[in-house]
This record gives sequence, C-alpha cells and structure tokens, in this order.
Amino acid sequence: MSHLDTPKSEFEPRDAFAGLRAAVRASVTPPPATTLRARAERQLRRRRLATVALVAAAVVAVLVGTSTILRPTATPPPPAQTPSPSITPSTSTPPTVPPRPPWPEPRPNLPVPERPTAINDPIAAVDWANATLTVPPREDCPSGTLRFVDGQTEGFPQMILALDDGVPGQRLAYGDLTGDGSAEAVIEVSCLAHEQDAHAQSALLVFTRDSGGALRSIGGWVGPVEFINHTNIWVHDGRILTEQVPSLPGSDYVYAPGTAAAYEWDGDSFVPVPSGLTAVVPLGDETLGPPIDLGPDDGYVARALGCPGGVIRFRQHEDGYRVDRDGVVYRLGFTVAEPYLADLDGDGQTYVLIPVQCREADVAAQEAVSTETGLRGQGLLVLQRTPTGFAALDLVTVPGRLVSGWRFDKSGVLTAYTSPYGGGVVEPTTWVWNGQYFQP
Amino acid sequence: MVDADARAFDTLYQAHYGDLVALLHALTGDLGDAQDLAQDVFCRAWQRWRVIAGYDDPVAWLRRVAVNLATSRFRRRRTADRHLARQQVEVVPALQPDHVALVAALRTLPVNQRTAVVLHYLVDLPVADVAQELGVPVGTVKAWLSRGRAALASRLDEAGRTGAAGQADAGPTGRTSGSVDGGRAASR
Repeated sequence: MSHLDTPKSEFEPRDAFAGLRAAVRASVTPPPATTLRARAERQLRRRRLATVALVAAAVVAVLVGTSTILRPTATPPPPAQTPSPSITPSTSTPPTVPPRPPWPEPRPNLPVPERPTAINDPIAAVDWANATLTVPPREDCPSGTLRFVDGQTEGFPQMILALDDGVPGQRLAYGDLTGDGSAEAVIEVSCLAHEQDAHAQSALLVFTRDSGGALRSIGGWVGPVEFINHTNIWVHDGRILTEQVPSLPGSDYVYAPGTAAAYEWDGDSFVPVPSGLTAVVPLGDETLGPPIDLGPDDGYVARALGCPGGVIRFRQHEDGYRVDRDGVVYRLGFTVAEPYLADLDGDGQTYVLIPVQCREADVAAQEAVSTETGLRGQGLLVLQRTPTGFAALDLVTVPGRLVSGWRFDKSGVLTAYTSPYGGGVVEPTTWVWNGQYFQP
Repeated sequence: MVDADARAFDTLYQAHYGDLVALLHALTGDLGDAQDLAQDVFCRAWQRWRVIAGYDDPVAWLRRVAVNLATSRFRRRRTADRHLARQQVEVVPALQPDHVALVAALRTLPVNQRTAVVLHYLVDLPVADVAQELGVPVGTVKAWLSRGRAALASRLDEAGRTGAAGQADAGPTGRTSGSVDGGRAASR
C-alpha cells in the first residue's frame, strides 16, 4: 500500500522517505568521477585567475589612492599539490609496523564522585523556555521585552533560546559575572529573520534578574554574531568561556580544538579576554602542536588505541592533524560541531575530548575508517592539561564502531554516538566519569 | 598520494551521490536541480579534499553544503516562482506517483520544516543532530517535525482522496504535479 492509500493517521514518514530515497538512488547515475574532478579543477583555476585579477586591481587601487575594500575570497586556498616531504613516510623503505598490543583488560567500576550542586540563586530557577526577557536590538532579531513560549518568540523575525535540551554541550550557564554577589545567566540565542530561513546565526546574551523577578540582558550582545555553535558555555572565575565552532561549512570563523573564547565584564559590556586554554594542534606559525603524553606502551590508552604510547605532537598534514611514527599514523578526527571541552569534574576546569585513530602508515585515512583496513584502533581521547601540554587519561571506544559524535551533560554522563565502519545506523552508548576514566 | 586522494574521493562520490541527490530532490522538488546541486557539492568537496578527507564524517560536510545550497537556491527562486505559479512539477518516470506526491507535498512546507523533516526522515539523522545541523534547539526541531509531519499527512491524504499524485495540491505556490516531463530530468 502506498502512502497515497494510507489514511492520514497511519502515514508513516520513515517508510515513505525510505521508498523515495531508494527510488531516487535507483534512477540516477553519477557522471564519471574523473569528469567531475576535472570540472572542479577547472573551476578552481578560473577562481585563482579571478583572485589574481582582484589582487592586481587592489594594488592598482592602493597605488592610485582609492578607497577600494576587498573582502577575502570566500573560497579557501586550493589543496596543496605536493605532500609535505618531512612527514610523508617513504614508500621505498617501508617502516616495520609494530604488532598491535593486546587489548586492555576491562577496568573496574569505581565509585562515582558527587558533582557540585547547581548554583543557589533565584535566577537558576527561571523557566527560560517560557520567560519574558528584555533583549537588546540586533539586525534580523526582535528586541525589547519579548515573551517566549517553548523557547522561542512568535512570528518573524524570531528569537530562539538554545537551551540545554539535548543539543550536545552546555548552552546555559550561571555565575557571578559582574561581581555584585548575584548570579547572571548566559544563554546562546539564535534569530531567524524569515520563516523560510533554515540556518540561524547565534550569539550570547547575559541576563540578570532584578528584585521583582524581571529578567533583562546586560552588556549587549556578547561575541561575534556568526553561523557558529556555542557548543559549550560555562562561567569560571567571573568570566564567560565558550567554545565557538562554525556551524556552516565555508564559514570564515575558525576553531581549534582545545581553545575557548573568553569574555569579561568591564562595567559596561563583555569584552574578549585571553582564555588561557591552549589548542591540541599547532596554531599560527607553529609546526608542532603541544606534547601529548599517551602514557606507557602497556598503558590503557596505548593498548586501546592499538599503537605505541609515549609523547606525540601533532602537525598539520594534508589529511588532517597527524603524527607519523614507527610505521603507524596517529590522526586526530574532527567533527562539525561537537563540544571538545568538557568540565568532567564540575569544577570549571576543562578536559579535552577529541576523536583519534591510529592506523598503519600505508593506508589512507578514509579507507581505514570506511573499511577498517589497517586501522589499529580509534576512539574518543580524554586529555588533561599539564604545565607543558596534555596527558591522555582515557580512550572511549566501542569495538567495531566508529565514534562520530558525543555529548557530555551536567550530570557527568558521556554519550558517544557510534556507527559501523563504512556507515550505518548511529547508536548512542553512555559512560559516567569516575574521576579517572569513563566507566559503563 | 594524489592517486590515493582521487581513489578515496571517487569511493565517497560513488557511494553517496545517489543519497545526496535524494536529499536535494526532497528539498528542491526538482530532480534535475538536485543532480546539478549534488555535482556542485562534490566539486566543492574535491576542491577542498585535503581538508575534508581529514574529517571522520565527510558525508556530514557534504550534507551541510547540500542543505545550504538548496536553501540558497530556494531563496533565489522565490521571486521567480511567483511568476511561475502555474508551472507544473516535473514527474520522473522512475519515480512512483506516491513519491512524486510526497515531493510535491514537501514543497508546501516552509523551508525550515521541510529541511528538518528531510534530515530526520530521509537522512535518518536523530533529532539532536538535526538541531545541531540547523543551529536551533531540539525543541524547535521537534515542533517543526510535528507540524511538518501533520502537514504532509494532510496533503497526502488530500492527494489520495483526489485520485493520485496527478492532482496533488502543491500548496501556496499553486504548483501541481502531474505533468510528465521526464525527458529533462533523464537527460541530465
């Protein structure tokens, strides 16, 4: 029975869409890949020529004293055509690949430490989803005193509060930011200008509660208004800290895992200040990232990863951030918008959660995670900051499955989303932080 | 290494081209546009392959670009569509009438509902992932899905009662499906 014959109450969208997907797949044939790649390369060449022309025009404009302003091209630079010789393993003398160490024994479950209780301030009891808030003006957003129902305003432009309701990370944080002894609330806010908009630009607002219970924002909009996800927001030492990860491909906004933006109250607004949180990868002119100690060869992390332990330092390579050593490649994985920082102990100090894989050097990254060929191990690496870099405390893995996403909630539970190598149904698995490692 | 890159890219392309066209067809309602856009997405992927190959889930990148391009195209076409209100949605011979009706019904949804419905039911993304991809709270996605599902059921119910996809009401634009014009799509 097709869904056209199905009574309204029995319409099953999943079946209907599965049928549509199968039918479209069967009805289309992709043009040859070589043709498509050639087309992509032609486009790149044309764009390069156009960029050269623009740069020449800019030089002329500067020389003649005009006020021409050129925006940076939206297209990232083309991929390097020559691999870095310093980090590509030689094909003529293949290194000896060490045998995979034995899988570690399961660890005992430890008592789970109690996490600090929620902040004791009336603002923490606010039902934000159904609150009335006074917000400052911003283009394509409503402003003034707004009534929210289910976390959003009526009509368009529409304001939406990104409350902590299932999206990875913490998007609502409390703490005393102004030094007045009362807590403020920091919330990620998005706006949709029109009903047809599907993507929202986001920024932060800080709300204070007056003695009568009214909630109004202070300090204006905090941080850039961008297509970014604030995958984590927390308050530590009177500062707002937040991970700002681009939410759309092609965004000019860049994020390096391990880092966070920080904002501090200056009496009038929230101004950017250094967060002091370093990246796990090289930044700027650096060629090597900070040292990461994986522990001994027979330690849990090295055995779970299937590769030698010791200290590694990632460098940027054409297929991502990686370390080539002893015939194997350690490579960091990146996802589009997962929270890399996690306050595992609930004390404001953050750990880094980041996917890592170790594979044999003669296997391409994509092949390894698609077919498991040459893949020694992979999972979510838990890193603690040290005075000089990072120390790996744990590797969260699900045998036979690839970690593709995760979230860590305020109760101390980590949910990892995994799928079979090569693709398939994504399934969640949960662990709890016991102060030393994640246990089932 | 370049050969290895090409092999890895080609594998991804062959494996996911059809799914991407299906996604774009559901979003745009036009199989020809969907194929154009899918090829555009893969072109962009090849131009940035050294970066994208580093992602654990490059398909998520493809999907995001596809949704973005479909949304942009929809915006550009909104004005033009008003002048083409009576133009008919093409029907591709390979697709069954109920698939055509489903796509026609999708076109009646606001883009945000349509995108949420397609990502959740066609791509099988969990609600939290849809929320993350669209940059909105889970509650908003749930509301969009609820409204979108009800609207789809209603449209398809109407289409069923009026006989078939041929008379399916395609909504505010006044578009209807039923004009068989598979040649254009098939020739792409």
